[in-house]
Amino acid sequence: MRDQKADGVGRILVVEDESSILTALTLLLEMEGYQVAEATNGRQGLELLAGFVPDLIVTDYMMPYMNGLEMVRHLRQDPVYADVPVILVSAAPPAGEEGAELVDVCLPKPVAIDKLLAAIERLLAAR
Amino acid sequence: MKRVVIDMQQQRDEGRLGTGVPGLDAILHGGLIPGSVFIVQGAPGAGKTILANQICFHHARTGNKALYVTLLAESHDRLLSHLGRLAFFDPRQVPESIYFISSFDTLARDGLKGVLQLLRSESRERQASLIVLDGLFALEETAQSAKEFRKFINDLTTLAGLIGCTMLLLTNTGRCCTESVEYTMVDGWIELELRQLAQRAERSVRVLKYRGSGFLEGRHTLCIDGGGMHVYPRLEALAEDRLQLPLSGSRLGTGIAGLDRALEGGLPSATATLLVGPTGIGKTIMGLHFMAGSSADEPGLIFNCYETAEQIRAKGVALGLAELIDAGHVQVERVAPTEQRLDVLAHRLLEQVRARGVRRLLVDGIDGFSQAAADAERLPQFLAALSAALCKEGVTTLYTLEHPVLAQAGGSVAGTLASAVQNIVVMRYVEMDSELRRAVAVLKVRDSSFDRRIRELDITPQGVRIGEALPPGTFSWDVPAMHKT
Repeated sequence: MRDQKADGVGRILVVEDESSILTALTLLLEMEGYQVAEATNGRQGLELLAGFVPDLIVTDYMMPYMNGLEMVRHLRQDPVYADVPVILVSAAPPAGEEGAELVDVCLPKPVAIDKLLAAIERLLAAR
Repeated sequence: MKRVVIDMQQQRDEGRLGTGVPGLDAILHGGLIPGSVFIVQGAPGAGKTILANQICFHHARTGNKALYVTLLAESHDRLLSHLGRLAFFDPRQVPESIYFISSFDTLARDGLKGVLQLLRSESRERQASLIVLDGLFALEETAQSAKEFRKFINDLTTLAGLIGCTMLLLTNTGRCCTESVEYTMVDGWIELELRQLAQRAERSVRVLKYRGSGFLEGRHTLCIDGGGMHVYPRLEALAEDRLQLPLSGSRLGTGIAGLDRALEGGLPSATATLLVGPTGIGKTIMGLHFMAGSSADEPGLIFNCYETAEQIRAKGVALGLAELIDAGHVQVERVAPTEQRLDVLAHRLLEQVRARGVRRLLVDGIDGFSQAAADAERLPQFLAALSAALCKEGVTTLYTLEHPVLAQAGGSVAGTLASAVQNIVVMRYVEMDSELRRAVAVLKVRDSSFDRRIRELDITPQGVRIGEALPPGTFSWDVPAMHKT
């Protein structure tokens, strides 16, 4: 098992429509040594995958054009991304929503940084 | 898309869209017209976000869907966290019925046109019949010109009408709405205000424009507490019929034989009476006598500013009032006037009157209302409207007012009240045989004869006793010109 973070190859896609949160998450993850790509909605997140294959995805739930769960449903249908771990962060937990079971970890907003980083490390280590 | 249009048509047929904000629909003559675009303007902290969300959650509770779009506003998690403390918030409605998104990135990338496209696609996707756009000022700042902003507002109103979607555009205050380019284009304009008055802040709401609808003009008191936002329409604006109702002819006994004789049978029912006199003369105990006439058929309410229910109960023991309170025939409500708003007091009073079918009402210390008035100039109209509303409910009201010098009553609360009531009874201390005694006289009874003579009043352990009329010349009493006969 490789240590992706130590290797500097931990690639994370962050999908979030609120710019202040998107900026904060990106800064945080880059400071932790990850390579980060940003998208502001699910549709844009899927489009980014053409040029950026992530090791993990951190996504918001409620977003315009395509929400986080819809994006994950699309991802899981593609064998390339079927196993990419997904962390969903949301002010409104999607309990019982279709697709919620496709998410590896669900964290409430405001995001507790230590919990987010711990979840990322755990999911990447398990790959 | 088709389904949304059908739903909206149905909603139009059914009438207006209720706001779920108590009192606001009365100001808006029933609520928001579906498909209308409203600007909600107010300084930060005035309550725009709470108002918009309360409307959204009410919309969701009634089976509809809402889309809440933020621009430069607090983050959604912080917003929901704040809303979570308010009673109307129901987390189960998010995101299925109320969907929160940010359009900040869209605005930065694609400008106003992009935001419009976003609203179009998301309202369709979410089947939203209510859209809130929180941060209109950010759109105005981003617009390349006033013309572009005008076009955006125009497109927005066209979209709203087309899909039958009601829109609330929230923006900060700071300019005259009538000079704004968007004033003529939107359907409605609601202004929220937060004023600092000495040690307390007072919120208000004002509708400045409502195309295709009447509305209650002027400022109305607004309160925000754990239940959310409540609006208390200005009582004078609500008074549909200020004409004095014809008297029924029936009388309600005051519980004091001597006073009933002077009144020639008691107080005319469904009228308001002012009982005025200096401190300690016995106004409250006179009022309690009146309340002791309450029964299951004639429920009573004591609305007072200065005494607790226990104190009232103790004072009325000899009159049998304690039993009436215990039986629920008389209710005692104490209010702290300094922490209340005038209209909040009035609506609270009227709510209780309606809920219990109150027939006898004692407002002990009407000057409490003047203490609650932020704007003393409206007091005469307010009290007249309150009296009219109570009379319309069939309530016979007795107001007590502490007032030392009747001759100076013209410009005071007493003078103000005199025009708002049908009947006036005055009390004062008089000097007889080298001692101060109490005297009482009826000064005015609307459309009725009465005994104008002055009578001595005595307070005994059993209550008030009013004797026969004093012989002429016992003492002189300059009766003030505080009423129109």
